Amino acid sequence: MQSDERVWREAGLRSAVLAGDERAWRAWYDEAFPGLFAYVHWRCAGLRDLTDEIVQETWLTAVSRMRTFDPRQGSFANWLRGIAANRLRNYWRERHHRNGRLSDEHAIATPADAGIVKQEQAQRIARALALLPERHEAVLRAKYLDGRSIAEIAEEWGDSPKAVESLLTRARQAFREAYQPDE
Amino acid sequence: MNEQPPLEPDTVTPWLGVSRLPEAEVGVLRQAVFDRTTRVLRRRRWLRRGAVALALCACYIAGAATVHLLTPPPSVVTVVVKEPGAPALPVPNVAPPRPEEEPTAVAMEWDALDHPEKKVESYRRAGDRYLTESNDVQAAVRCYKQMLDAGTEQDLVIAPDDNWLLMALKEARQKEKFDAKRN
Repeated sequence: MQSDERVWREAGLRSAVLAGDERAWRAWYDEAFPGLFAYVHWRCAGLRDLTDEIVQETWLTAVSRMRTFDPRQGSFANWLRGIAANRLRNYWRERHHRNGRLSDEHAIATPADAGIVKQEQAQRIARALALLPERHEAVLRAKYLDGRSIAEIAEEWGDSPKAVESLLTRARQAFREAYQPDE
Repeated sequence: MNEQPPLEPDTVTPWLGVSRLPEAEVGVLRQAVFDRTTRVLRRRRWLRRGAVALALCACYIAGAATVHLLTPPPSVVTVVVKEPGAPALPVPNVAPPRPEEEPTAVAMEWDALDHPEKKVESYRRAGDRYLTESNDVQAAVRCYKQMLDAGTEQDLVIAPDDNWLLMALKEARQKEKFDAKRN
């Protein structure tokens, strides 16, 4: 019932935005912005410039492709997260092609240069998240970004806590491998 | 026994845990992105309105062109002045209006009958018009004969403005008279 209500509401907002209603767009934007920003900020491991760039690109893509959004297939927030995830994936792919291995970029940084080390670490985290399968990324997001317990995730997904715990273990392992590909 | 791997120490928490930025720091980005997306919406709205206006103009032009093409050209209105008692004759529509309101050849014939004093002149004009306007040789011969019958010796003399038919008839009449005198 709650899902029906969401679909009905988001379908109405979508129609209004497609007709050029700025007030509807303002309302929808204000509602969705904090969640999207938090997600992108997490996916970018706190890299502010990258976060701003991806957030901006995501919204511009969303507003120009609004016609393709179907509320019956998922919420607006999920749709936005999907766009952002694709943007991030493309970003890391292009960067990889351009610069080669990420770890080479700051290879000469000294441990004393804490700012650079921290920046490098953030980039590694962001890239590792971009490399994860969708299911692993989702469970890590639920756990670390949304701050949910295993029991809450299991209830929402309709899985057993054991299954979620197992998935979380595999997701962490995959993340570690993506984070430290040399080890 | 369903054995799950023991949950390892959560070593990725320091990497994946993210500190949320205060709203004030995000506010500038939020407004800037909103402004850009709103511009996209406005542009799209104007494009849609322009397309509608263009379609309406195209419909109007197409309608006007259709009316123009389907409307027949204005027909030539010929005013026929009928003398009392004159037989009604079909008048071709294509005949251009005469600069002077001259009676028709038929009317002239009737005029010659009604006014004997103008018989010679009326038959002559009627014959000329039958011959030049409708190429009706038979009717022209009839009129010229009436003219010559009603005329004097002087009217049998060939004049410079006589047409070929009248000249031939005059010549024939002169020959007839000459032969009659000789016999």
